[in-house]
Amino acid sequence: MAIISSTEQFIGFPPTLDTTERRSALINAESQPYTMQDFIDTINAGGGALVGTQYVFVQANGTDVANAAELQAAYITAQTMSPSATNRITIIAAPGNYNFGGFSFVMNIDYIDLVSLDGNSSIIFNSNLGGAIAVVAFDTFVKGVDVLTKNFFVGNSLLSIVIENCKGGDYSFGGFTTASGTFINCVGGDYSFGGSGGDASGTFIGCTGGQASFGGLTAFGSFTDCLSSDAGFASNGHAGGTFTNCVSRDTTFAYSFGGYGLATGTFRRCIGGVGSFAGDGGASGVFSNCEGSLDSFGGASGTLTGQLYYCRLTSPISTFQTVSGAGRTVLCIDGLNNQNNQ
Amino acid sequence: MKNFKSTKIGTWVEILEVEMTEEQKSIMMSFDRKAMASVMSDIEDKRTKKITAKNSTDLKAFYNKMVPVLTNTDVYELICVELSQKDDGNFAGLLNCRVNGVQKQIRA
Repeated sequence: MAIISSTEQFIGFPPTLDTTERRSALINAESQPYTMQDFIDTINAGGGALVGTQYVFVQANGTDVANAAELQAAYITAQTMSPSATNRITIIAAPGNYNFGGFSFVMNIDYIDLVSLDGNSSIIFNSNLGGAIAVVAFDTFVKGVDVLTKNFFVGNSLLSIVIENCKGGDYSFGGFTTASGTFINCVGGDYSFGGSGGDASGTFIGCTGGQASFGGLTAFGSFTDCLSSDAGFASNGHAGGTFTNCVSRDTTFAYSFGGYGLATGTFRRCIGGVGSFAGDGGASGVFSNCEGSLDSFGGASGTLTGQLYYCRLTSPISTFQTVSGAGRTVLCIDGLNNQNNQ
Repeated sequence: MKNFKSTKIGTWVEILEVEMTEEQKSIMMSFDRKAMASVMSDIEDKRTKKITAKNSTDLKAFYNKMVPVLTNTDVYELICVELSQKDDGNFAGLLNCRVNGVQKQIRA
C-alpha cells in the first residue's frame, strides 16, 4: 500500500495525447506510478478525510474498532475547528458498528454535535465490554446513536442538550440524575429519563422507557406521546408537569403518575393502571380524558382536590373518590359504567 | 458547574451531585414503597444545600429575566426552575411554569 503525500503533484493529459517516449528520462526517473487502490488506501488512512467548514465526516468502512477510532479522531478534529454557539461543528457518522471496547465515547465539548448520516439509529455502539456513550457537554445535539443494552449516559442538569432517535438500556438518558434536556423519539430501558431517584424536568416527545422511567422524584417537564412500562412518571414522587397522550402500562407494578405521591400537573388523554394519578396521594391537578383503574385519582387512601373532565375508571369494581376542596368530576365514567359528576 | 433549583418563588437550594449507593439503587428497584420513600427522602436531604444570600440575589435576578411578560389578569404558577452556573460565572436556566393553566418551558 502506498500513501500518497498530500503535496504530491499530478498532471493530467487529454486521452488523445500520445505520451509514448515523449517524456524526458530525467522526469521519468523522478516519477512515481500510483494505482487507483493507492488513492483508496490514502483516503482510508485519513489523508483525505472529508472535512467541511462546519462538519467532519466519519465514513465507517473499517472494522468495528477502526470505526470507533475514526469517530474518536473526528471528535478531536472537530475540537480544532473552533466550535462555538455561532460555529457549531457537526460530526456526520455513516451507519455501522463502532466498538469502543471498555471505554465510553465521551462528548464533553459544547457545540460539537453528532448525527447519523441517514437520521436513523444507525450509529451502533456494539462493544460487549461496556463502552457506550457519555454525553456531558452542556450544549450538544446527538441523533441516531444506539448503544444497545448499555447505559446511554447523560450528565446531570444539562439544560441545552438535544437527544433524538437514540436508544439505550437501563438507566439511560439520565437515570438517577436530572434529565433537563430535550429528548425526541428516544428509547431507554428501566429507570430511564430521570427515572428511579432522578428528576425529569426537560422536554420528552415520543419517548419510551422501561419501568419507573420519567422521573423518580419529580416529573416537572413536558411529556408528549411518551410510554413507560410499570410505574412510570414519578410513581413515588411528584408528577407536576404536563402530560399529553402518555401511557404507563402498569402490568406488574402500578401507581404511575404520582401514584404514591402527588399529581398536581396537567394530564390530557393519559392512561395509567391501578392507583395511578396519585391514587394513594394527592390528586390536585387537571385531568382531561384520562383513564385509570382501581384506586386511581386519589381513590386508594388519597385525596381528590383536582378537576377531572371526561375521565374513566376501567376496573369493573372501581368508583371515584369523593372530591374535597375545589375538586370536581365532570362527565366521568366509573368502572360500573355510571356517570360521575361531583 | 453549580446547579440550583426552586419550586417556590424566592426559595432556592443548591443541588449537589449525590451518588446513590448500590444498596439504595437496589431499594429503588425493589418497589418496596416504604423503603423507597425512605431512600428518596435521604437523597433529597443529601443533595440539597442552603445557599448564600449573594447567590440568592443573582439567582433571583436571572430568574426574573426568564419569567414571561404577564398582563394584570394572567395567573402565573411556578412549577420548577433550574439554574446552572457555569465555570465562567454565567447562568443558564430552564423554567417550567404555567400561565393561565398552560405550561410553558423557557430555556435561557
